[in-house]
Amino acid sequence: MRRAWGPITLTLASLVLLVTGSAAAQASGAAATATTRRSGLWAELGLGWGSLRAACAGCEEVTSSAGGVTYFRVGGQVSPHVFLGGETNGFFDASFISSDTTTLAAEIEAVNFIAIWFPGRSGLFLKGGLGIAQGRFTIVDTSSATSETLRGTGVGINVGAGWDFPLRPRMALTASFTTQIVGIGDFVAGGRTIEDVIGTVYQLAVGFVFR
Amino acid sequence: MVFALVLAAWPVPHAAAQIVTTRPGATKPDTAKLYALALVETMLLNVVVNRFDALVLKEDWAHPTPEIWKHNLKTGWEWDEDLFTTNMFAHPYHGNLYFTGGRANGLNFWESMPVALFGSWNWEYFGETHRPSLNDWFMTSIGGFALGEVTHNLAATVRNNTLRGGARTRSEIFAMMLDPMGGLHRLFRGQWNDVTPNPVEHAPEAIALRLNVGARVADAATDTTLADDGGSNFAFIVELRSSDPFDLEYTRPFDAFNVRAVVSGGLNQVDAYGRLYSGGLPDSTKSTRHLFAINQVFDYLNNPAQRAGGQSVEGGFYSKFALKGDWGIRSHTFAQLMILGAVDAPYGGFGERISDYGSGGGARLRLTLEKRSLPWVTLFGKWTFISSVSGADADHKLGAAGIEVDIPVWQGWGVAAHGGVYWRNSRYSSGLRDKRDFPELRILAFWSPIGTRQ
Repeated sequence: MRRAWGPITLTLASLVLLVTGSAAAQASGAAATATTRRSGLWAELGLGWGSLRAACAGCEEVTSSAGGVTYFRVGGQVSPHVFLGGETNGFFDASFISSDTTTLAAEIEAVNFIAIWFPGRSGLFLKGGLGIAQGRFTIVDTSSATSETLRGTGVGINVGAGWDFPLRPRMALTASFTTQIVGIGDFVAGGRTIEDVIGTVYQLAVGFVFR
Repeated sequence: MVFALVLAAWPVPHAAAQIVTTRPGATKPDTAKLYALALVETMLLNVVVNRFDALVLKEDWAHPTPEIWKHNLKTGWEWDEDLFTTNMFAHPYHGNLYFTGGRANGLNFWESMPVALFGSWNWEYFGETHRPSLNDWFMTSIGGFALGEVTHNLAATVRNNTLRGGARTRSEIFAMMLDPMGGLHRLFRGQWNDVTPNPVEHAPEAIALRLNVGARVADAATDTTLADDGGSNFAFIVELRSSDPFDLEYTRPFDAFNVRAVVSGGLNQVDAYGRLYSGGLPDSTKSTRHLFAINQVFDYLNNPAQRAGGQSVEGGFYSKFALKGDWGIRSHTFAQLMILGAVDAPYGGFGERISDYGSGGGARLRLTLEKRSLPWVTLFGKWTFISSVSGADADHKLGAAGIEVDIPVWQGWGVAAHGGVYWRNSRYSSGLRDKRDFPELRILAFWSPIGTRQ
């Protein structure tokens, strides 16, 4: 079953982009007076919107739905253009699939080793990461008030790009688009095995950086 | 690749390995970084390869259409059913071409990684009628990093920018056999005749090559569907090393690497280790020295007990302990993170593929008694755990241990005996267990045409 991106989702995405654009415009002015200090240790907390697409072996169709994303990164500078660190990110959708009697909630969590690369002097950065990930799907049967949680753990790869807007010498705002891909194995539900599940989470997020 | 290296080095006087902390005479390349061109070239390469597959090899899957592209973008990744050797070797070679395209456009090791990732992503989504394969993206990209940097370094070593005439052309041709993308770039830019200083990667004094020939003695496998049927047959081992980590201060990824390939009854083993990072060199006057290092690892094993391989990263310590005279002990103690590995799974697999993909970890230990940095007796052990994410719901534990005795006789020639045992213990969620072991012995003669001789 596939769910289209509904009006609510598009509105949320537009709001995120609007906030990001406004912050960027303000930061551009602030950056004229703020000195960029992109060095040393850094930590970043981010929130945003995401879309999970779940595919499986032998499945002709995929299932997609939108939800919220969050991430936390911490690391340090290893060269004038490269930061290395660790990251945890998560996606949650309370109604990934829903019917009259059943609701499936989806969570994807990943822990990655990441590298952030600023190719030039601007705020443009590319991000890549590898790590482990877990997918958790909770099936709630509203008619019998029972629930079952399915878990799968596997490998994750994370790639993305964004822009860093300095606000203060030690603070910055980031806007980024990231893809988190997870291979989380088999799930067994109701006596049926869903094999070789791969989840792809597209994340659009705003982050607050402390350096 | 071995023959290109040997032939290209033949006219050059053999040099004893020297302890150097920098490479004299080498210069950093003065090349602009052409990011956009590198990315465009990956797409052009994909078009060329796709058209060759479609028009020459007549492959059905090489005819993607805009509708298929749209379908691939909508449905995204899957695990594919390709053969083990296709995923373990053909794809990393393809990734190597993307990667060396980045290096040929002035990008360094780290900057060329996104080029390989992009090139592979582009192929997976637009180069075939199949859905994009996640395991191909991993193997092509990560395998391409390792193979690409090794071939880039070897080509730069074979090529000598200070030569002229026939010797120069010969070195450029042999270098292009190792690194086609680099060679083609140099040809089109008219650099085959430019006399310039050599880059930092040009390091003929750091290369050591050993060829081993002999026989393997082992029992025949009871399962004849395996790629290696066991049994006694011809054995051939190639060992290539660039720089001893203790002899070279870390300056860049893969400034020290080694590759080993073993053939008997088929390709039995390929190991490649490339240094990604290491700490500062310890004081060479001390009798005990330890060096922390992080390596990228490509490994492949094929024997009746296990057919496995993968892309890994390991971290640990190289250690040297000086004994009396020229004798010493060297150890490797590393913990390994398996990013993505594959293991044969007769009771699992997926579709036409009879192997499981998964991630995991492991460790390896190597203890060598050496004389003037040449190994005489080596004990080795390796353990790997792979938890399947594609194929059967299973956990696979793999291991190998053994002893190698190498006795130099005269001027780079010697005799050797290598014995080992390989085992696996696979546990499936259905309760099924697959336990196998395979002992073998190789009796060899070896020759070191390039590198240190006692």
